This record gives sequence, structure tokens and C-alpha cells, in this order.
Amino acid sequence: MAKFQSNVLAAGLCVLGSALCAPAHAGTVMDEIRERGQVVCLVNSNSPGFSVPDSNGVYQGFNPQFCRMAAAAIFGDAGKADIRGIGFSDSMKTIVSGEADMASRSITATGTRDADPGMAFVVTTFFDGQGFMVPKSLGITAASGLGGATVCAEEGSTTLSNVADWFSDRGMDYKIENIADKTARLQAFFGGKCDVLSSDLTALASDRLLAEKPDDFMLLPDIISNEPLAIVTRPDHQLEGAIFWAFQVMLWAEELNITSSNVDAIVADLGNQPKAVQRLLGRDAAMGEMAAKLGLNENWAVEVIRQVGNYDEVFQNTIGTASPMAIDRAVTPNRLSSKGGLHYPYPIR
Amino acid sequence: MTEAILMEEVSMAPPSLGRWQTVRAQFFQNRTATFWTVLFGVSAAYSLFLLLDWSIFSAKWGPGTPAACADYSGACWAFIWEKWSVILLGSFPRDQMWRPFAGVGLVLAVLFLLARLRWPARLSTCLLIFAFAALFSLLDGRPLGLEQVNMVRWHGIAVVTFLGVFSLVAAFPLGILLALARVDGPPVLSWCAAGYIEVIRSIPLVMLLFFGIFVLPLLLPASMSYEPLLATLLALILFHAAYFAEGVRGGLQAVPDGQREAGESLGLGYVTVIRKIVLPQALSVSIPAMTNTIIGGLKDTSLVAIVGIFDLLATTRMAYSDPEWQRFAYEGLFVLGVLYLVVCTAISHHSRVMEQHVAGWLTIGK
Repeated sequence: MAKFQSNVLAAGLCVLGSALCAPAHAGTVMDEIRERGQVVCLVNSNSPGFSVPDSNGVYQGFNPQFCRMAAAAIFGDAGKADIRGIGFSDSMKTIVSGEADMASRSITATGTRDADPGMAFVVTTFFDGQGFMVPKSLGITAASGLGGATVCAEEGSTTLSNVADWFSDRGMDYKIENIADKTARLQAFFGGKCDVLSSDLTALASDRLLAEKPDDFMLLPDIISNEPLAIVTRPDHQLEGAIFWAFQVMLWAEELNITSSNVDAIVADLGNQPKAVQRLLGRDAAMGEMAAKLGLNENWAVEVIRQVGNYDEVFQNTIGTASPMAIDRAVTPNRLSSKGGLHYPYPIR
Repeated sequence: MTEAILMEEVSMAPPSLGRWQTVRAQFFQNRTATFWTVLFGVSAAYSLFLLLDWSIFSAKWGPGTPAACADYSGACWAFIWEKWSVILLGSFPRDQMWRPFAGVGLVLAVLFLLARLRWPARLSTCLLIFAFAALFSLLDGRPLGLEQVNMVRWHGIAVVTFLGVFSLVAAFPLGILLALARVDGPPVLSWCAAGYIEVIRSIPLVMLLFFGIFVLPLLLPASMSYEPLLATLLALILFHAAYFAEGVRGGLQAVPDGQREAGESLGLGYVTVIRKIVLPQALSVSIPAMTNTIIGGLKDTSLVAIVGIFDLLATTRMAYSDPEWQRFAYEGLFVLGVLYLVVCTAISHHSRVMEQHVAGWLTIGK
């Protein structure tokens, strides 16, 4: 009965406009993307540094760059990403219903979300976590010096319980200043009512810019919760592979010091390059085989690096020190594994 | 002649006061009045000074960088200069920017014409349907052979016009039907209409939107989906219709039964009596109530932001989420407030003009 009712309801809504109802698709997701000539990619609509429309209404920031990465790998043209801003609760629903191919919008990969058969978590682009911001005048460099501090944090989220767990595990005293409104919380912190502000690292970095003198404040290197922000796609062997390996290419490019500006020169002189560079940029067996099996542009690695850049370029230009966000990559786990971070480039061969 | 002079001599009019005397009599007649006048006057003058200082004298005008604004204690209008298109259009593709402007301009022109010319209902209806079709075609593009712009990119003025204007336009006739059903209909129909109106009025709009956008899709089979924007339009229409219905019902009950009986005794049918005799009077009486619904409905479009539709408030937030421009939220919100103030003032002004217009002929029957 319920089924019947919902069908009638659906039919009624479809009558509203015949163009509105997404037709059922045949074939793989990747076939659909290639046929459409664009990869539909969801991003956050107003997350400073991570994804915000620029003055021309084009989404810029850390997250949209991975939409462009996907387009560059699949089509050899980063411009073929249809980047759409969307609210958080809509984004996963939109992926599951197949109206978008992928989402690069700071979605935390969790077990229950990944268990949903309608979507796939492919690769973590940013390791976020709850951290602390303090005024430099406090003179501490690690959270272990926070004993007896007054902490400003947001009510009604896991933020508060993370702080409580962390301090009590270490037997440290603390006081909580529990302020729900963001503006009031920041005012309390910048005004000196609390010694430390706790929130996700990325939120702290953008909050810091709202201070009268942002340079008077700093983030501590301690991270007390795990928030792996990952790319989500529609489940599809080829699409997941394309995005995972295009991301590995960006990590390898950083590892091997290949950037968007020097990639052409390196390709022109490929014979004299180290073997690892030749493997990454050459159209030898491994790259060609992957391109054929995943349905990518034959020159996909070079196109990703040339049009989007390596991981470090993307990081620094959007949220790193070359941007107003000025997140110090060294205090986050987002370094390469060779520098003690969590980004571990998988072998492409 | 002598009569006129005589009339003037016995006139009981109070002696006319000079301007200063009038002011003194009204605002300074005793200590209490003087106290309140001075208190209000000083605080109003001070607030006005602060506002003008912030928005004009100490403000940074023209284009500039966020750094340049640091030298000014007042507003940074460089933010608006830089971000006006984001505030108005969000992420609508800029090479197609003329389309939302043309569409919204056309709709406003149609509304302005209808407000001025008072055309017959049938012509007005056709014009409004045409305006809706034109706005939809311009925004979507496909009906005009232009490049398609997906509905998820209809932001700012485009979506506020699309939802705000046309939900109200479509809800109006539905509201009239509901009111007629409730007042005039056979018992079962009347109960249904009353039940519908009461239920909708007891549910917060936000909940209705949540249901339409998040819950309804879960009830549908997986292969079925619908555009959130159209679902929102439908939800707004259903919502506003209930409010219009109550406004119109107030008007219907204010029309004396004699009017209808007079019509029936002339041999006019039900529809004609309602259309030609009852409704014109009822609608005239309910203008203030309907203006309320219209202004409230227009402002309620900002609630759609919570279901992921980017109205003007959401696009303004986009504009000041740019890390470089994060500090200039007040400027954006101030401009938006002025925009809403102007539009809502225009609507309430027009409703007063209409009230005066109908007041003339409403009294004829009495």
C-alpha cells in the first residue's frame, strides 16, 4: 500500500514537469560521464579556503581542485568539471540518487556512511581533526601546556565531549566556556575571555582571519580527533579508480618535485629524468594500461599535473601559506609520508 | 453672498496656530511630552549620525582591496563593488548573466504594469503566466535554444523571483478557491478546506520544506526523483494558499448577504454572483490581510536556504565566505536589508494605493 501511494505520488510529481524526473540510466557511471562530456562534482558552497565562488561565481579553493583533477584525468581538460555548490545534508543524497558523480566537499569518511551501497569513499584529500587555537601571547607551543585553561567551544557537538575526554585522560584541569553562537564565541576568545578556542582545524584556520590582528593567534599542532575528509563518488570501478589514481599522481608529483609550471619542461626532456619520473609521466606500459582500463585520457598524469598541479601546489595556493587562510601544512597531518605525514603515494606501475 | 459671510463669522473652527505653536502643542505640551520628545530626538539624531558616519562619511567607496579598507573605520563598499554579482546571482554562469537579469527585469516590469494599469483579470493572468514561462525559459535556456543552466545554479535574485513571486501568484487563486469552499461549499468540502487550512497554518514552513526536500524523496522509489526547486515552489504555493484563504474568508464574511441575494434575485448564477458581486467586494476588504501574506511570503523565501537553495541571504554568505573578504559580512547584510526594505515598502505602498482606490466604490453600495 505504501509502495502504491508513493508511486502515485511520484507519478503526480512527474506530471508537474516531464523534464524533471531523472530517467533510469543504463551502462556504467563512467560511460554516462563520457557521454555527458562533463563530470558533475559537488562542493561546499561557502567554506572559506576550501570552496567558495570567486567574484565571477566560479568555485575556487581546495575542494573544487579535485573536481578539476577528475576532469583532467578523464577528459584531459580540467574545464570539463561541472562544479556545483551544495549543502551538506543534500550532498550524499544527491550522490546516492545519481544526480552527481562525485563530491569533494569535506565529507568525513565514517564507517556507517561507507556502508551505504549508494556511495563510495575513494580517497582522503585532507586529514582534519579537532585542534586548539591560542593567542601567541600565552607563550605555549603544545596543548600539554593548557593545564587550567579556559576553553571556548561550541555547545551541542562532539567538540565539547572531545575536549572533556582529552583533558580528563591527561588529568589536566580546565574550564569550559560554552557558547553556541559563532560570532559570540569568537568575540569571547579574541576578547580574552577564554585562553583557547577548540574546533576543527580547518574552522580554526578561517576563524583566525576574523581576528583584528590574525598574526597574534596561532594553531597548536595537537589534534584530538580524526576527521578524514574524503572524496565520495557513485560506486563505479572505473570512476573510483580514476579518482584514486589521479590523486596518487598529484602526491607523486609533489614527491618528485614536478609542478604545473615545470611539467612541460620535464616531459620534453623525459629521457634524462630519474626512472620514477619517467614511469609517472611517460606513456609506458603501466600508464597506458591504466588509461585503457579506467577509460582515461591517454596523457592523464601529465594533464592532471599541468592543469591542476601537485598536491602541495593545490594546498598552498588555496588554504596554505600562499593563501589568506595560511594553514601551516607542517602542523597538520597532511604532509607526505616521507615527511612524517599521512599522505602515502601508492606505487603507479 | 451675505449668507457665506455669515457662515464664516459663526465658524467654530479653532484659531489657526503657527507652525511653531503646532509643534509646541503636540510635542512639548507638558513635562512628560517634552521629556520623551527630547529623549527620542537625541537618540534618533545620534543613531542617524552613527549610521551616516558608518555608511557614508567614514566608508571606503569605489573599488579596492580588503587591505585598502583597513584604513577606513566605516563600511567597506569595495566589498559590494567586488562581490555584487555573487550577491545577486551566486554561481550562475557569468557569460549567461544577462538571462537572470532579463528574466527578473521582465517579471518586475509585468508586475509594475499590472499595478499601474489595472487590466482585466483574464489579461493579467495571461501576462503573469507569460512572465513565469519567460523567466523559466530564460533561466533554464533550453526552451529558447540557449545553453542549459541547471536549476542548482539558479541563485540569488533568480531564485527569489522564481519562488517568491510565483508561489504567491499561484497561491492566490488557490486561496480564493479554498476560502469559497470553506465558507460556501457543501459540508464535506467545507470541512476538508477548513482542515487543510488549519493543518497548514499549524505547521512551520521550515518543517514543510524539510518534508518536501528530505523526507518525500525517501518515500519515492529510488528511480524517481524531482527537482528540489520545484518541490519547494509547490510547498510554498500550498503554504501561502492557506494564508490567502483566511484573508479572503475575512473578506467574504464582510460582504452583506443582501448583496448576494440581490444578485440571485436578478437571476444570476452562483459563479456570476461570486465573480461579479461578492469577490470584488471581499477581495477589496481583504487587501490589508493579503498584503501581510505577500510581504511575509516574500521574506519567507530566505527560509529555503536551509534546504540547500541559495536565496539572496545564502549568496551574500557566499560572498563574504571568500577568505579575503570574510570581515565584511555587515556590508553585505546591510545592502541586502536595504534591498528587502525597498521592495517591501513598495508593496505596502501599493497596497495603500489600492485600498484608497477601492474605498471610493466600496462605499457606494452602503
